[in-house]
Amino acid sequence: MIEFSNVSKSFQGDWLALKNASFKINKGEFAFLIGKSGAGKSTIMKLIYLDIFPEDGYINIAGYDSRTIKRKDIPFLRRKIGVIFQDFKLLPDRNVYDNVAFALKVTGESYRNIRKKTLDALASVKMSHKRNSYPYQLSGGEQQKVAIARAIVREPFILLADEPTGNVDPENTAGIMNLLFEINTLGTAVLMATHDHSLIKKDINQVIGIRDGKIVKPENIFSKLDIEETESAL
Amino acid sequence: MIYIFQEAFKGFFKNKSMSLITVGIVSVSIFIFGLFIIGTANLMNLIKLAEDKIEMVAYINENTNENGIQSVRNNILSIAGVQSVEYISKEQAKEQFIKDFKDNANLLEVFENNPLPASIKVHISIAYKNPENLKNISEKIALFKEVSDVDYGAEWVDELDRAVKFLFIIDIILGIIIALASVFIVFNTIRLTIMARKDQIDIMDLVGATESYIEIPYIIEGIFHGLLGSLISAGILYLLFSFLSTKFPALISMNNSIICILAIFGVFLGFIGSIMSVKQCLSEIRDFKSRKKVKI
Ligand SMILES: Nc1ncnc2c1ncn2[C@@H]1O[C@H](COP(=O)(O)OP(=O)(O)O)[C@@H](O)[C@H]1O
Ligand SMILES: [Mg+2]
Repeated sequence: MIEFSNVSKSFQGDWLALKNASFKINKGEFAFLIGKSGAGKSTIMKLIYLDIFPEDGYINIAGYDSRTIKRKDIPFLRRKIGVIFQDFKLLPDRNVYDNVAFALKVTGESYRNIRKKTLDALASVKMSHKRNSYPYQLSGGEQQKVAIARAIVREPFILLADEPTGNVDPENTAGIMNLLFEINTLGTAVLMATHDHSLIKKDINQVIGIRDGKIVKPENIFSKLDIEETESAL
Repeated sequence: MIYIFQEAFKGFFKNKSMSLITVGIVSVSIFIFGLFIIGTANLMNLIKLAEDKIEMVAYINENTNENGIQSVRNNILSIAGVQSVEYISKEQAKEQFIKDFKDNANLLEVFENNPLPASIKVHISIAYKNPENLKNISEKIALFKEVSDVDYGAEWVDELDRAVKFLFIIDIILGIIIALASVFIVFNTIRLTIMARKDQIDIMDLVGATESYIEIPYIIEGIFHGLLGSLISAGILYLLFSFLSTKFPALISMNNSIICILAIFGVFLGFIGSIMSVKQCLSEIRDFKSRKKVKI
């Protein structure tokens, strides 16, 4: 469903933030992307929702090819991809309900559906009771739940979670993780990027390791031992 | 579609202070532009009044008979640029003289006969009221044997012409400076208010809003700000000039076409300013992510 094929990405000059990355994420899968800070996790996330494009290789996202997709088709792809971030990215000038409904309004959802879908999404993250609160009145964990509601309100096929617990206190981290698993059980694939090993659970389908822009075995994300072997493979 | 208007409308009230600043700055810019437009209208009017005063007189030889007068009239009328002619007999000239110089009317009494010649007043159409054409026409008229002399105040016409050209250049330069300054100031204000909502635009882009959905609310808002600002300044100018025209009745004050010009200018500023700003904002957000060195 998502396929990276020899993807390289550079932001400036010859230096590569991502080097020849290849991996697949299947339909309905829960996958982990694990690596140290600066390894290239966010870069992979952004490549999936085509916020940035690869310099080399290609990405296939639900049939859209990064080499051939037209600028005007990107919004339609993004409607099928939910994204959440470490810093939530909620709009401070509107309440919880409007933050979630915003994703529907700006994509031209019909008025009849906006209310129902928004309330459904808020219910599934258990934030209905806070629908009239403003982001600044919520804890980090609660804000992340609202962000999740906004990400899933259009029923995406995949939810990209980039360090979703980075700004959430330890008590609420489990809550966020459970929510992500719950969403996954309902059929949405989840790709979660993190540097935190302790979050990995047994029932995760796939763990992708990344170190210095290269895809590695998860146990090698800290080691320097396999640098030569990976480089000879390039 | 409802969303688009709702969002534009909400944007206006949610960011009250930013909206007020934008409308205020548009008002001030358009006020200055409006002063310029009214100034120009008054300048044109003055020039027209001055040009109306230009007239040409052909003096007729003493011994010209009725037929001669008739034929010279027709001949003059047939010259291009001549609108109409008016014959003034010796007697009429004398009456006019007495009327014009009431106190010194007895000046004429030293003469045995009426010394004033008969003449033909030649009205020139406005398009021909420039030094070259006037000179041309006067030379043609002077060729008729019944005409002794032609007078149209050549020096004064030359001077007026030079003044008009000078004022025109000043006016155009001033107009360009004012228009550019307004464009610059208003565009930058709109740009700042849109850039201040970069986060909002970023989220729209993230959740899959199409470019037109992202842009249109800001553009409507921009048009609305421009229109409101121009109407406010038009209102102030209207009051100002109604007051001034009680003191200077000849003054041209606000009229519908000036209001229209200001409104169109305001809408133009708002429209172009917002469309450019939101497009720039969007491409900055995208460029920023793919090129510039930033701490993620
Ligand atoms: N827009 C950008 N411009 C320049 N360098 C960038 C940009 N985005 C990321 N990078 C660099 O690419 C590398 C990978 O970044 P990122 O994918 O954000 O890492 P992670 O999310 O794993 O912490 C880092 O060295 C980072 O500095
Ligand atoms: Mg990151």
